[in-house]
Amino acid sequence: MNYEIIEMQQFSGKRAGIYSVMIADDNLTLFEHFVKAHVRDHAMEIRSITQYLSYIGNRYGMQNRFFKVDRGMPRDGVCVLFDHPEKKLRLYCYRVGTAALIVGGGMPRPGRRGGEGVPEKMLARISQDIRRKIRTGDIYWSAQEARLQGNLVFRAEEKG
Amino acid sequence: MENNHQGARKYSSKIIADVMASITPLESLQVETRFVLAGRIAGIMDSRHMSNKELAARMGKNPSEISRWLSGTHNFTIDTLSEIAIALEVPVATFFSPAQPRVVRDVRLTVRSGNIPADSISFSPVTNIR
Repeated sequence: MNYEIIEMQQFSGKRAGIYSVMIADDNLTLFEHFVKAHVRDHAMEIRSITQYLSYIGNRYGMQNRFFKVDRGMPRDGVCVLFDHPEKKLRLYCYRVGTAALIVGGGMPRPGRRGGEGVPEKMLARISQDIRRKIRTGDIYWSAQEARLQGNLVFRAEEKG
Repeated sequence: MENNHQGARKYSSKIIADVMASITPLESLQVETRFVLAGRIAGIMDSRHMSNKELAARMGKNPSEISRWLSGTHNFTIDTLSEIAIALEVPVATFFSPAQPRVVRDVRLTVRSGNIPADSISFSPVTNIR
């Protein structure tokens, strides 16, 4: 899968860089697909989520209390936003360090029974790719810029 | 899909812009209030090194309920805030007051004008350290 990590300007701020994923030959990010799919049925919740992400980026940073971390395979780093009994949607995210958040897709809760939901699986794969590039130094954290730096374009043939 | 390999391409989404533009002042205030209240409660717990589990035990709740409150998504009722205030032993009004900046150490500096010898600059810590 070829894709690119892009910075969401509307959410990123001095407290955290907020990113999403754009698959090659697509013109929307995974987060935009999530919004488009659910904005009609869950408009209020989608509006809250956008405000929530903006607060994380600009005011509050990535405090542990905002995330449900017991998702995905152990140590794949995938966590969930907005996954509470009184909410209808869950949004999958991957935290890179303490100040970079990659927002993937989401789905109505509870997730599909009998296996991981597709957005979760996709983000778990992406988190693996990112970890690999961090290990090789192709992606790194710039404290000065407070943003992810390096090569954030991923191509299937790059995998070793 | 090319970028200059120096970081992520910056992207501004029309879809997100439309959603954000549709947030009413009331919705905005409601979400902000939830965040602020959750932050104040979390701040008091942090200052007392109190875990979710401990607060849950004090209130006879499940720790997952405390996690939900602290996530910033919960619509608190006055009754719930009153229960939390009793468990944290603070007035309910504490949740609505800006947090006081934490004083790490008070020092008293004395600066005098005139011919100051190079070795005369000093400071003396006050005795009551908060």
